[in-house]
Amino acid sequence: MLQTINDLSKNILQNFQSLSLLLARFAVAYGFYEPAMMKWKDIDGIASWFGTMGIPFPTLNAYMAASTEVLGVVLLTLGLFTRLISVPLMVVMVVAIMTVHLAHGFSAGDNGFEIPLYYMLFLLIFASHGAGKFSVDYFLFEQK
Amino acid sequence: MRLKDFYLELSILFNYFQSFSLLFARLALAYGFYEPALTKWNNFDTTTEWFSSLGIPFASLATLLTASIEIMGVVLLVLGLFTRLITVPLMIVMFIASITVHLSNGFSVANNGFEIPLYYFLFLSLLASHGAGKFSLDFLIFGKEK
Repeated sequence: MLQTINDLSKNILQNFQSLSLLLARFAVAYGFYEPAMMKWKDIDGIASWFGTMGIPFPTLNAYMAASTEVLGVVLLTLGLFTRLISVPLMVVMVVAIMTVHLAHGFSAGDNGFEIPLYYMLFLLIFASHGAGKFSVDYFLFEQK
Repeated sequence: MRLKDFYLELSILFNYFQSFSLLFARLALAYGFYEPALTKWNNFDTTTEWFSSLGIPFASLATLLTASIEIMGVVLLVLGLFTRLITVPLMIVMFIASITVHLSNGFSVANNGFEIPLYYFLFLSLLASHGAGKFSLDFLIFGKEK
């Protein structure tokens, strides 16, 4: 009985794998859009901000973080090199959590690490599951 | 094609983290539902009044339903038990919460917008479609994912 219910729900819900990956990719791309644009528009300000937080080579790292995020927006939207771009984006999130958010605790309302943590979890899912069928990756690499 | 070989090799390597990623997402969601679930149970009457002020019909029944779904969600998501079955009602709860409470506050979480319920909805839809992964009771009881 339980086995039947489980199998039935699995058979139905499995059809939504690629759709759920697509929507999650769009959400994360949208989430990275604003911080990415903010970093590019004021790269010198970001570099000095990075410097005050004790990040080494602040100018280089400001450029690296900004380009990773912009690339992330584009590639996650397209679903191109999804697994590859997820890894540096996760690194950016880890650094952001450690340098900025950790001191504020968990809750997103206090600028805690809640949202960057959710992003990391989304990115980990993208890295391990790929982008799904609604992606450039699928046409380039996985289609037989 | 060398790029294709490279990407396929990378895919095989990264595939090993599928069950980990699903486990972590489940634990984060369970943690996220823990506080609102307990708040609803501990302040049942206040929640009912709040629900009816939001224009939700049958407010006390709706409170009972929401609170039970959330508390079951916490337990079942941690265990990875009946994961697909519990994610669907949780998605409905998130959808209603977004519409009745968060939508008018816009997107950003800073204004209590629908950002976090949206992320929860997306995590739940990923879990509903992919299942709980191998580190779950579902896997032990119902066996291999195909």
